[in-house]
Amino acid sequence: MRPELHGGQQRMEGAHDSASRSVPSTPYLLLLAGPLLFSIIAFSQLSLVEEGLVLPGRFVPVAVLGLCVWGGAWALHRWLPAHDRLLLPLAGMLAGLGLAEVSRLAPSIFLSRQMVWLVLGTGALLLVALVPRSLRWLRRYRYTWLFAGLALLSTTLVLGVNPSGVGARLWLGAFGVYFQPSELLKLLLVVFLASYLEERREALVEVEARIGRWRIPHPAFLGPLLLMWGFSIVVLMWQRDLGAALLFFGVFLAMLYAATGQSGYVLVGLLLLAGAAAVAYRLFDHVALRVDGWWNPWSEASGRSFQIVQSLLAFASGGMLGQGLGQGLPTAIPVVHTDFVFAAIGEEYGLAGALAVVLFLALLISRAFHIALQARRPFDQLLATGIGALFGLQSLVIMLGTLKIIPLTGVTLPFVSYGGSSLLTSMIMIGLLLHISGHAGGSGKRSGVGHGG
Amino acid sequence: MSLEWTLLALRLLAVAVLYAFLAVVVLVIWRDLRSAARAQPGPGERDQLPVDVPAGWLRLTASGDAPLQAVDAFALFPPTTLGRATDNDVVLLDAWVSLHHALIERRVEEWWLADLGSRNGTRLNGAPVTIPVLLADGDVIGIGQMEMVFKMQRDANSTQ
Repeated sequence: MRPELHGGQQRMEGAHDSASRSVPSTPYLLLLAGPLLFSIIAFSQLSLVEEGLVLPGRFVPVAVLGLCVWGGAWALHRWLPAHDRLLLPLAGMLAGLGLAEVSRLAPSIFLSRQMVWLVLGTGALLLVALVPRSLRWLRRYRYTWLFAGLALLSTTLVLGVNPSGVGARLWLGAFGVYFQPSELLKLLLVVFLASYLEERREALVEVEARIGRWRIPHPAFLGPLLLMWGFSIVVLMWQRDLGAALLFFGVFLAMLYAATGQSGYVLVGLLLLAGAAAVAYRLFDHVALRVDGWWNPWSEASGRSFQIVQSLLAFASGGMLGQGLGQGLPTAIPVVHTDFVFAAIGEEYGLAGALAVVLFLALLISRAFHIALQARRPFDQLLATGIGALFGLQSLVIMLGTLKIIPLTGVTLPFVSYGGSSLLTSMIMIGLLLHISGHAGGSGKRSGVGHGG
Repeated sequence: MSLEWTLLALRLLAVAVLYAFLAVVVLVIWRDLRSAARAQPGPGERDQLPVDVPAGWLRLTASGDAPLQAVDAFALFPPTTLGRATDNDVVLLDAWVSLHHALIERRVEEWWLADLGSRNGTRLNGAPVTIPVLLADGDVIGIGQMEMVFKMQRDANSTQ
């Protein structure tokens, strides 16, 4: 494979270039200071509001976050000099906001758990990013990943629980620790699809399926299209997990489009999705409830649509600059710390804060696509595209849902929502992006490390 | 300073930090783009080569039973389009070739080959090209029944 050869040559040059710069640039240090500064302010606010004075004990999360961000940055700088330097600060900023919101919105045990997950997530991030080999191992064992994911999923079908007692049983629990396999499954699916589509792309030399004069989608693409569609339906029906089903299928379509460049597949996929949505609306109460609550929440504002109405009120009372952290009433929204954390930000940080979150996520996603464009190996390109699409769709679905622009589906806001499985998975995805960006050869030279030669 | 004023100050400071952070992110991205733009020659410079010196060549090595081409070597002034339509830079007279079949372009100091959604596909050393791929000296590009060897101009390769 020639691209690999080229990548190899340039990688060495790039590594040499960067290794000579042992001190990171000033803007980068400023970027790394951002999450710390922000969370110091946030926890001062919380301490002042709740205790009336600034207690040193309230700053433990700041220390944990600082350890994760600065430790991670140091390790990456040391062992992966050509990595994308915006990913970690952006993720750190969102995670800092997340810790502050968990502390604000949920009981203190939740904050401790979230901190443990953040440390574990940083470890996983570094592990994935610094694996010295190429990501071929990830590509080679694609069916292992797929079946591991499916096995996890079917385990939840049998043994699933819900920590809060009611609702969709999506968690696996043991000894008070809960894990939501569908979060990890999203990532496993992206890995599998990147590998599968990359291989099929090559198998499709000059073969073309035709019926008479018309070209039809090739079975190699149509097969998985139908399979994924069916799979999403199963998730929707058995697990009643609307958000996950939507994400699985949306990410699949995005990757299929990235691999083939043919909008026809996307069109077929969207039609299938629309059909499934219409049927689901008729058949399943929980889907109909969401759609009706979206269409007209005001008729049952204190009943079944209480949550979404409270979310809208939270945004409204936030105004431009918000009420200030700890000084609004976001806890009026049920499960505000996971699905509705964006509404809490809208209330206490206002439009300014909510827009900043949107911009952070948009920048993160644009970095993912940037990395995909710079990557040399098709598998890496597809993987980065899939990760970007996953972050993007997930953020969009929940932010638009809390704003009542689309019907609400419960997914987490990456890095910000409370939830260990989600945080861990998001961190692993950042780790993969870092790995790809650090091994992309010319990209390190090209994007700012200086053009030596 | 009363508690109220402290909280107000912290509230404004929090928003200020969020946007200061964004400003630094934009600064970093802008610097990256600027250094990339500096590495990439502007229009008209075409990698420091005079415009009338081709940056590379394509030499036809096999054409199956396609009609004979008038010439069997094509100078490349990237971006170069290949196809059957006469508005292409390299016109290939073969029924298996799409009207606008493929594109060869230079990005920074590398050559890239991209398929333009052709019906019968483009091959690089026998493997299908579905996303843009890097070209190296001596690569064999297959389009329809034709095969062409890609040759870099020596100077173009060593401008660094």
